[in-house]
Amino acid sequence: MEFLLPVLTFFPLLAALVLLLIPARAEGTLKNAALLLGLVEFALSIPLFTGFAPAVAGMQFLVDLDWIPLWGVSFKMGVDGISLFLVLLTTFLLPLTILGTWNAVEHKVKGYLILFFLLTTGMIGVFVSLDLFLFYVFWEITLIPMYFLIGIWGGPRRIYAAVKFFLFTMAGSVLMLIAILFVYWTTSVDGHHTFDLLLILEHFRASGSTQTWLFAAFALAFAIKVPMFPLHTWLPDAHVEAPTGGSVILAGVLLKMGTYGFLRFAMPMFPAGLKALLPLLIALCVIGILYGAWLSIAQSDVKKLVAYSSVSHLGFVMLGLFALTPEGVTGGILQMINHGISTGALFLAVGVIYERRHTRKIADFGGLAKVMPVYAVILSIVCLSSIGLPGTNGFTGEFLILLGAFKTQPWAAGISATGVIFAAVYILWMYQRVMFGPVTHEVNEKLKDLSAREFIVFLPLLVLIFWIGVYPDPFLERIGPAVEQILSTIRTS
Amino acid sequence: MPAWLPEALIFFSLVFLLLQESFAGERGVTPLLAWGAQALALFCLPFLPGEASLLGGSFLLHPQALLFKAIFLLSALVCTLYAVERPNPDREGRIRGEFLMTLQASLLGAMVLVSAGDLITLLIGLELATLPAVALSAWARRNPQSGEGGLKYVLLAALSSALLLFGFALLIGLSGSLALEAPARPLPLQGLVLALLLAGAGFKLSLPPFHLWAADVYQGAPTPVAIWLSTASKAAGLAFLFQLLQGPLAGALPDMLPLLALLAVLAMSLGNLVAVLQQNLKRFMAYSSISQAGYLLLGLLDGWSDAGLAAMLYYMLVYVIGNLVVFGVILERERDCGATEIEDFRGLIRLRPGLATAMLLGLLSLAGIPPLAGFTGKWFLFAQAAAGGWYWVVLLAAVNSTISLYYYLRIVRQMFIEVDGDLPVRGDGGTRAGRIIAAGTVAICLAGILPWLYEGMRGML
Repeated sequence: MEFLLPVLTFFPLLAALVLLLIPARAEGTLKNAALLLGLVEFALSIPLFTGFAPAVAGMQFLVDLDWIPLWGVSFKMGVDGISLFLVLLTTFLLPLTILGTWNAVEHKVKGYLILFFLLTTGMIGVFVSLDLFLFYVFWEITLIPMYFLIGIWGGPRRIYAAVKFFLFTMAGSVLMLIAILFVYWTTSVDGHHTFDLLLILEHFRASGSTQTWLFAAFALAFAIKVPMFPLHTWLPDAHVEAPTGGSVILAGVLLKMGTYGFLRFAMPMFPAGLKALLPLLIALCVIGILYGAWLSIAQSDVKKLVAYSSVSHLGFVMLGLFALTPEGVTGGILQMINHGISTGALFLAVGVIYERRHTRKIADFGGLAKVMPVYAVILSIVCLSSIGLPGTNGFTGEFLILLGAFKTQPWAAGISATGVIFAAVYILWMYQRVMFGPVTHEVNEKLKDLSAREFIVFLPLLVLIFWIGVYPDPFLERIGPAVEQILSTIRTS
Repeated sequence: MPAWLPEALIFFSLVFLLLQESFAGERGVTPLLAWGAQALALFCLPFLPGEASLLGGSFLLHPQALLFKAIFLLSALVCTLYAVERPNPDREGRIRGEFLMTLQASLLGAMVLVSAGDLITLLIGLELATLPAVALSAWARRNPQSGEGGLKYVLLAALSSALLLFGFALLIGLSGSLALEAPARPLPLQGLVLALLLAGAGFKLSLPPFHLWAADVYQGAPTPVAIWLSTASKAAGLAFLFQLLQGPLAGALPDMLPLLALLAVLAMSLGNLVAVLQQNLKRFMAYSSISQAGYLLLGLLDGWSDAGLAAMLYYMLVYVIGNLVVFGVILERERDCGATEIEDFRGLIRLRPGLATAMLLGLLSLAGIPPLAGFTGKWFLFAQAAAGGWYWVVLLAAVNSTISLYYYLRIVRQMFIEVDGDLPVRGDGGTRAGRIIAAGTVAICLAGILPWLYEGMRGML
């Protein structure tokens, strides 16, 4: 138990090495092994949930080893209520994505699976690192596998999309690197400099204007990743070109690295900077919510529609975080999980019809409900959860966010609430055009409904959609104390 | 062990190579004489005394010199092994006795340079390191580009030597001493002396505006020689700069910082921007190495400190290993398909997966992507510059890292992504060079994760 976090982080790396030893021709063996290893990773993460003490606010499962002592770099990992569910989301989506995209990748299966596991190591590392150096390492590590996943297995404009993704993220991390170095040299603990986040939170002091600059430097890196308007332009390209599995992980987990970064690093480290830039950030959230929704309405490609809806949904998450009230932040964290589940499911659902028809244009479908009834039911549930219908997970999250935001940012919350209506417009309209009406294309008449494999993939996602929608308490009680602690750090300094 | 043992080994190996060629003919030369001596000398280094002074203080041994010698010997060893492994006489000239002897001479010069205790020894070391390298770069007699590169190199080397000599003459004349130490009182014309000496060091390090020779020489020179120039010869330039900064220029360092910062920024930006446009991999690596020299200078910006010195030496070593890997792959491809255009690397992952993976890791290390050694090295350098308060330089360096990533990825793209259609020749592979490349790749990965290498270097200084 003590070393659970390093095990969770590096098991996927080990899994990648195992896959490396299997010959590339044995595709069946490769896929089975990958699924098994993914399930093992998920099983390993269950003790993280059961062993987690809900009432404790601080870091749990703490690991603190020296790494480069001369530079004050430590190998420090831990989880609290915020990162706990992001780690679980990652390990949960890993086997599901492998199973869900079983036949989606037709060539170079081996490389695809290996990169998937490498990416998982990077993502979990980001969520559990409590040392700025370690965090930065994992943050950058996630770039390489994603670059290849988009670049090799992507659509026709994949190279453009991969390079754009890479350069946007790198450009964002440049300023963060400098801010990290500045914090390092200005924080002195007993005469030593340190990258240890917990020590920095305790000892770092800077004037208001310095904090504003530092916050802006961190915020740029995270805002690109989230992505917040107007830094979102890489996202639709990356999503449209990425293979289904890449999209699921990109929307489900990678974007949360940005929102998580705000909450874990930028906001508590530089509260004065946060306060100075808050009006701007709130305005960008509101614009992102509405703009993303409007663009979604106009899309003719289902995948692009879902991609722009992510911009809108992530705007909600950020609004919740910037509300700086317990309800808002808790809602924001819950909504990160919800978005991972719902949008992950949406991308998998898009993948299902793409595998059958090799097109994602809304106009190429119509009347699928008659041909694929099971698929129609599942997609409707996923769509409703994405809109936030009461009884589904989306409702709980968005409700908490708006509740929290009304307290401190009534205007922003009021305008953003209309985003929920627009979400209904684009999602339901898309659903109507794809599912209802007569079957307009002959090819669509013979489409097969969901296979047993595909059904099994959606099942756990549906369970979670209703579980969080009806009984979110097991989630909220674990998130709550950590949120209180972060908010008190922001308030006191 | 006597402090002069490594130099003696290299010297005797040089003499024996010469004699063997004279008596046994070219075919009778055993390359073992060359690389065996280098390996033995490398093996001796840990057992040498930490501090020693020979020949009345002209030849000094200290930890810094030891570390530099390790870098020189390592890259000489790898160059020799690369060179003698199925050479390509058309493109590289004949790689036997004379070639190996000339390489040993250049190595000997570099080793004397770092141990020099006075100005004369320093100058002799520098010239002994440079002039054989000039000859080597023109070695491929049937390749006109090689001759062109060699000619450019010899002209500019002569110019830089002239400037340096003038600088040394002024220094010796005005201070009245041959000692490698800061003048007791401020000299007249100090600015001129400083400029002249800096120009000499800048030439060796290929810092703009003294970089003009690099691209043509790298492209034209036989690839093993390009490796030598980009690794050991560059390290020798850094060592020369260190000798100056610890010696005659010691007092002037604080005033020089803005100039060094400017040179660093110029080197990074120019190297990176021009590298984006290159089609030939050897030219590309020339510009990449110009920009890497710029990053190296960041370690000087906090003034002179052990931490900065360790950061620079660590990065130098990491850079050398990265270059040995990348150039090793280039050399393999050159011998397989006879060219070094970026095009020739298309689809390498399908042709030679091992080589492609090594190249990927080498390039990413040079670009500074974690968890590879290049990342840690760059981080230390950036942190060192930040410690001196040079945040704007760090900013530009980080922006440059992003640009550099763009062009390193161009090659990665060719190797991994554009793999359809007709691919270049596969080649046979299976040489010992592959093993060296593999070892270097493993070193790059491990050095980034395990801190021992850096800690060991820091502990020595």
